Amino acid sequence: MKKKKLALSLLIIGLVYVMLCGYTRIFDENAVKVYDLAELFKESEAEELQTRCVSAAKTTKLDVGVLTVNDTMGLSTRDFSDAFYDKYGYGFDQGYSGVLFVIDMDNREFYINTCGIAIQYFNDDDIEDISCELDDLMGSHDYYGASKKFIEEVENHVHYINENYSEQVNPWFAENYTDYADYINAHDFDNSRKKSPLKNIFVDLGIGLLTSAIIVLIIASGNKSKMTANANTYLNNNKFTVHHKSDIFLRTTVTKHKIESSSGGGRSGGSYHSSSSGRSHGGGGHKF
Amino acid sequence: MVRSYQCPGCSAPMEFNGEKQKMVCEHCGTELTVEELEEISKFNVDTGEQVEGDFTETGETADFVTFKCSSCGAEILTDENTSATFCSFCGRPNMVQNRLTGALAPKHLIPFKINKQSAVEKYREWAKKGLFTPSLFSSNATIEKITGMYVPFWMYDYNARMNLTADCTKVRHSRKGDYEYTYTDHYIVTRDVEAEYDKLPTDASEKMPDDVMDKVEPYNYNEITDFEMPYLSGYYSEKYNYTAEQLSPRAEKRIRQYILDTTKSTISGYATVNITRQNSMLSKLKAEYMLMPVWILNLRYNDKDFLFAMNGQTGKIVADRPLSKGKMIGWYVGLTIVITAILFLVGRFL
Repeated sequence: MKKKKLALSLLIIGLVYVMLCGYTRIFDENAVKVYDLAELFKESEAEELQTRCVSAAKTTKLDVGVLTVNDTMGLSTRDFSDAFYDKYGYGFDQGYSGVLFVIDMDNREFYINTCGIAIQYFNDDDIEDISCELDDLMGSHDYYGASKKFIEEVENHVHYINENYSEQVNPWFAENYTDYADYINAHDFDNSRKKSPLKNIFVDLGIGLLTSAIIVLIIASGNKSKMTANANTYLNNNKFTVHHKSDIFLRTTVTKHKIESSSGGGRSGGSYHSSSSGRSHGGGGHKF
Repeated sequence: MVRSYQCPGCSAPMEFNGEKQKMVCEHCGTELTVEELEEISKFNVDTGEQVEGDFTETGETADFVTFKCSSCGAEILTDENTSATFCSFCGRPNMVQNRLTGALAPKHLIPFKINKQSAVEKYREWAKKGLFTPSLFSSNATIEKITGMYVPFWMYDYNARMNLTADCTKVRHSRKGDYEYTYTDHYIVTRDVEAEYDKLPTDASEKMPDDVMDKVEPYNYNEITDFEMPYLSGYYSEKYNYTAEQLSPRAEKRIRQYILDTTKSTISGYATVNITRQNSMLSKLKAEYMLMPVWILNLRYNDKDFLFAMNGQTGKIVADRPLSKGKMIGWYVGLTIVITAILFLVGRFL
């Protein structure tokens, strides 16, 4: 009986573990992050990049990867990298958040592919800035150097955003979104593109009603007659005397308050598109 | 006794023309200054007669008196205050002399500057301006009923002195690092101000609503003229209902406000002024009885009375424009549609 109970509990624990694995995505340190299909890196370089990707993922909580490719089978860098990202399972949270650095020797383009919350972290301007940083290295064909720099930039940037715009990125981890588009629609950031047109009409109507009410009331009040004579009308200027006048200083009171540093309410997330698998991706790149 | 002024040329009545500031004969066009007419009139026989008995004798009709028109002899009914009116039969102007002489004689008046035509035009412009004014108000029939009237006023000269204490503050800001500092300097301010206010008008007619008469001010006192009866010819007029004593409280209320305003105007440069103590002393210097010109029109709309008054010298209009609900709703709906459409289109194309 004891053996049976033990086996049963082990089985249950095992089942639970498997179930949990299925529902939560766990960061697998041993998963391959660097796919060097175009064979641009030496083995030591590829290993170094792998290590760096893993450590970057731990600090940024975004999956980080590098892909080099010789033949994109007729697809654009963007579409190829979207498909690759989705197929090779990057991203370890519900939204598959991560950044993938792609060196496309076929289209001669390097590309930064974002998914999940990474689209919020890296908006179009950020991706443009990072791409510019990498132009020189890519231009001189230092692919290893460019990839290393990429990982560095990712870590720095995520840290910067967490410090200054934390309210725009933190909620992701607590909530149930599996696609960036859904997340964006729920949070109504500046880059939300799909607003229901019906909601807009009601808002416009409400504003219209209120504004015309104000205008009509102002015009109506202007119809009342006003008193125009005042003290100065009847004041005899020759008989005006100030007999006594004193202004005595008593004391000064001081108050202070902390100035709220503006946490960039105007910062928008990146633009995004749907990949062939239906997931939202963002990103951008440069030719080299 | 009633009297009227006859044209020396054709015996038609002469009326005072505000635009020309002269007596004008409607019939033959003769023009005379008031002084000239007075000179000539001294030799004319007064043709008016008062009905038998003093007006205080007629018991029940104590508020009304009858006179005989100086031109046609018909009976004119007036209330106890009217001093100038028109005969309802022949239309000629009649002045009630014993209400304009002796103790009841005004020393000065401001003659009408705006004549009936101008008044009618100005009124029409005003009626058009209101977006929500019902169209009834622009009709000719109503406008023609406009009447010119000399309203009796008591003009007060007051001396006023005020003692005032106030807590005042000045505010400065400065920034150091992440903090903003606000410095508030507190002052205690005292003022002792004496001022004289001359010729404060207070209407002495019971019939004319006080607030409307107050708003008709200010008059240009440069045109104050010595009173001569001919000025009244062609207009209605009243003698005062209230004595200077009776009206003083109303005048003093205004003076108290004025001395406070004048004193407050000597305090400047502060962010906030909080008066903690104030005390004023008034002394009446003079009270003079004067007639001031006003154009009046009474209209009824939706069971409500609207009084339209215009300063007969400056043309300032005092009236609450009536609001036509229909027009208001029309504009409201129209504006709402336009604004909603604009917002919607903008939302679409941005």
